[in-house]
Amino acid sequence: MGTPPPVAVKVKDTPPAELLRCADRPAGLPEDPALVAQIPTKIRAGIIRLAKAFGANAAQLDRLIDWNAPGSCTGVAK
Amino acid sequence: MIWIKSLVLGGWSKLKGDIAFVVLVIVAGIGAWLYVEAAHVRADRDDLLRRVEVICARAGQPFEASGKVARGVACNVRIAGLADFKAKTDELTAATLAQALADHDARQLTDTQAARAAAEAARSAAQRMEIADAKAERTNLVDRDWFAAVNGVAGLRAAPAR
Repeated sequence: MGTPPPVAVKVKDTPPAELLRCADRPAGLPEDPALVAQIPTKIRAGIIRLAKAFGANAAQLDRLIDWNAPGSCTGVAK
Repeated sequence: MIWIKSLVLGGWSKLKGDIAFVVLVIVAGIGAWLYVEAAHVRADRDDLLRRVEVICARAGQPFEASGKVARGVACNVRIAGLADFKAKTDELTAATLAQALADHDARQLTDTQAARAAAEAARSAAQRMEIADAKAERTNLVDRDWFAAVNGVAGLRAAPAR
């Protein structure tokens, strides 16, 4: 006989709906040809860092949610 | 040879007188043999019965008859049920595990594709950002291109013009 095989049961452990909301992507900066700003290099670098981190985090969150509930956030990104 | 013949014939003629006794001896022999055989059979049967009772008790259903059900029937049903349960459980377990493995593989594949797409988009957006920022390096003046590049790296749409 040997050791009996474990009896496997599928457990559906769905996270709370709140955790399954796809990444929030509000409107970004206006792209108006009339708008021109003077921004020092350090501030520009900071804005770029924030924007990059926002993009990476949002993409990662969507991937995580898609892992849990396949297809929920596909196509939302971009 | 003559003497063997005379011995047998002589013995036979002697036995002829005691034929009843001879038959009795033979019958008694057969009886004794049957008795021993029967004792063996009884011992064997008792042993089997005991084993069956132990087996049925282990399965959780007594071997004895109860009500109109003959002895051994309920136990038989119970053991068949146990064997069936085990077979079905094994089968379902294997199927569940296989399904879980397949699901995981599918997820992994989808996620790998999503990750690759995201990384590619981020890389090209970062390149555009670098170019736009290099243009503003000298004057610190940023315009539409720079804002669009920032939206690109953040993965955002432009704010509607008001």
